[in-house]
Amino acid sequence: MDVIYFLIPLALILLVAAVAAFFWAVRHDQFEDLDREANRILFDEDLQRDAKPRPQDRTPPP
Amino acid sequence: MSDSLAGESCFHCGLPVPLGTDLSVNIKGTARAMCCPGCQAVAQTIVGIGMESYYDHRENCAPGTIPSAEIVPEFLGNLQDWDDPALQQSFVHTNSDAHQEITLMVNGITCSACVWLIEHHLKSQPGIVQCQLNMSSHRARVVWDPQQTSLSAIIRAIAQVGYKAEPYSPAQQEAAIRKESQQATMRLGLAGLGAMQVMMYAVGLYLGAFEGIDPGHEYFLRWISGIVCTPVFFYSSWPFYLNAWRAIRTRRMNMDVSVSAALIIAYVSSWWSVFTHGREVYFDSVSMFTFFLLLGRFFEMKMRHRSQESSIRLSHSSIQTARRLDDDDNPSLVPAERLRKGDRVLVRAGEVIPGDARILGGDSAIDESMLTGEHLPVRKLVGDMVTGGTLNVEQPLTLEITRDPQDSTLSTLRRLLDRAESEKPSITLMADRLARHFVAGVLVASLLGFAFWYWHSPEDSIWILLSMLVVSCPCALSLATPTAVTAATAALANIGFLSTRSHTIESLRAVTDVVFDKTGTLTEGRFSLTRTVPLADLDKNTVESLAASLEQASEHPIARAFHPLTGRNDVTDFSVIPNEGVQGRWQGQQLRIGKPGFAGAGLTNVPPAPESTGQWVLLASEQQALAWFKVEDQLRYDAADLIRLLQHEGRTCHILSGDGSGHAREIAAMLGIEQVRDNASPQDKLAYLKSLQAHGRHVLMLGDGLNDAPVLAGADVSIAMSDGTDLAKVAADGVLLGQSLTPVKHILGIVRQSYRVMRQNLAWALGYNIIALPLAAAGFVPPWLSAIGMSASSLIVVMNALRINRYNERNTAPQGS
Repeated sequence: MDVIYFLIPLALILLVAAVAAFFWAVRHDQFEDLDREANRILFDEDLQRDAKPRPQDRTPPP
Repeated sequence: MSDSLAGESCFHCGLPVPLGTDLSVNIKGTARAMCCPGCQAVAQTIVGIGMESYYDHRENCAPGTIPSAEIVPEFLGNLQDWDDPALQQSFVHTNSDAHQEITLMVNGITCSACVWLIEHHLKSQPGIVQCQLNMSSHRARVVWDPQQTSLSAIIRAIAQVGYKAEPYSPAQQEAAIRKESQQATMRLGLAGLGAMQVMMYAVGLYLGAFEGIDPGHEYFLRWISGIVCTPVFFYSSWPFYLNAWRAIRTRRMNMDVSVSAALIIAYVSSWWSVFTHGREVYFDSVSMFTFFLLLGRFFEMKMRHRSQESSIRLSHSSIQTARRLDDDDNPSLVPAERLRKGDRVLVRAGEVIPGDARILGGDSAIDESMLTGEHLPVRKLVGDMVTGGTLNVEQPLTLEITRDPQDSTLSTLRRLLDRAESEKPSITLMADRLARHFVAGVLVASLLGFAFWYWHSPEDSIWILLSMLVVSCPCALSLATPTAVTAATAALANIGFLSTRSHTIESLRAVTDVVFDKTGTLTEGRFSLTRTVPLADLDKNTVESLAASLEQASEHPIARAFHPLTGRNDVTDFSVIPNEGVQGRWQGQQLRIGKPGFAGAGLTNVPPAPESTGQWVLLASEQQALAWFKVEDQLRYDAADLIRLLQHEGRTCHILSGDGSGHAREIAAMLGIEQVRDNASPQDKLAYLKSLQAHGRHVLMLGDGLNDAPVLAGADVSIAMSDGTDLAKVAADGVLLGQSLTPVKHILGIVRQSYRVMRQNLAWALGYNIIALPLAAAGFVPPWLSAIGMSASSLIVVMNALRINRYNERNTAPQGS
């Protein structure tokens, strides 16, 4: 079990890295507008679905 | 009034389609009804750019919350002004690539579909380099290439899809909000990560306590827990210590005092126990406790920021410009606040008068409705005084500014408003009252418990003290009302009511009297055509289309009543006669429309107007009178319904109007309102309100005008209409987002429901503490269990508050979109 003397400090270093990444994200406005990002992906998909069939309508089937 | 007749509602904005309107747009293969040409144009644009799915995705679109698509013509007409480089200096930045950048405030955003629509539409415009819209702050950052496009083109593009955008310079308060929010996020995040780690080590220690653990491992785990807990204890919990210190200095108890006491005792005694190889460490409790408390505070802060942001948004008035004349009469654009007494300015038709001034040249009609509530323009000649903020309707005017901006009528009104606000009846929030006594009680009880155990069994005294402090932590108590208010605020926003003060919800509950302003609140605040009486052999459609084509030439409020009608293109040679009417040629005849004395000049056989009341407009040719039109400021379609419901609930309704024409009394009679006061100045209105309050009544005021602002500020609680003046919106406690009054009745329902939830929450929180505290004092609850109990009781409070949102699902019919 003495491996914990090595693994736990290693985990601590990872923790520090995670906290640093989190603070960086907050400072760079990654948490500013959560509502919009949550929805954006849905809309883009729809746009493509709506836009794609149009040119295909005109191409004759092979 | 006529909502039972109008069967269909507008597919774009949700308002009922007026009878006889036949407009539609083909959306995804189905013809959808539209209520006005404005909505039709917007819907056509949306379909034209291939973004029909906007209609599938939008949310929160109760009728009327969609901004009216009819964007005011003055707004679009004066857009080129924004391209003036001198004016742009204060809000446009040029970045390194010679691109220009601006922050725009976009009005009317309700959901992410709006954001998506605007962003995509803008990105498809030429010259737009970057564009990003923040959904919660309604701010858009746009970067463009000045070679390819202009600011006015960008604003016009946004208007094409139905939103109004204005240049915006961020307020200082906003920077503060942003900083606070970032710090709180970091504190919360650190506490969360820390708590997870420490809990992991704690599981090891707990298991070790039961199964046996190597003392070296136990010592190591305790050290590591302490190290991870330290940043949480110092950085994340810092706000608690700060607040507690402030409370102690001002000798007022708050819950941060007991929180800080628990944290410090737990942290210090845990390190003590690490060094002395004592029985317990409480690092896990410290970090969990911090995390849960911060989580509650975080939600509370988010809610506070949201209401602060919306009030900043409302108080932001667009940058007002003026055309100052130099010695050679050349106009140059300057911000209005830079005008000084003695400056000469040019005000074109359709522009807002930049300051209190005297007329040097010109003859025009001034719309003073924002000041007096009187919506017919008043004629002003050379030498007459005009007030800043009123609208020049007909002809260009040259003015001499007579007062510096800070002494203007507008500023005086603002001072009246400030005074009224400071005298506003204050409401003590239920939770504050309770919490203050509660915390003092808990501290005393814990110390007594500690003293007792110290005497009996000193080694148990510390953890019992901790358990008592943690288990009775008034988290649930402190969350009881904020969560209910947050949930209610969200529910209210969904039905189109934006609450901008934190007390709005508790104040609304006690309302006994509802006072309405007339123009713009009970009525639509604009004229519309209500009756057409053809006099000659032309039918109704023909005379209406003739009138519409003629009146297109004028921006007079009465003329605008005809703008929604479809005109024809065979009418030519228009000319507008100020304050009289419009003339034009049709099929070789001279046609006139306007005041009977003007249109019917020289005619002998004009029949009298069919009714003696109301505004009548005459259309005549050179030979004969062709038609009478009645224009009225119509009641909002749901006004009658609302009044009936309020009276049914036992609330007294009042009308308080600045209008002296008797229209207020007419409307009161129509709606069955007995308390009417018309011809009232802002001071009169405030006095009326004070006399009601002196009789112990709790007054809800609804208004829209500048003259309502002091009353809105002084009322126990007040609501402003969305198209009201900025000052009215700032003065009010909340703003109705749409064109309809229906949300008011749901507002009262949601408020009742949230008050019920608040009481349940408080009862639960108090009950829980009353049971848990004696148990902890008796030593039955170890600290880890008390932390769980504390979290669970808070969680129950939060879940209960979420039920408020269900009010909407039950009581407001699903909005088809």
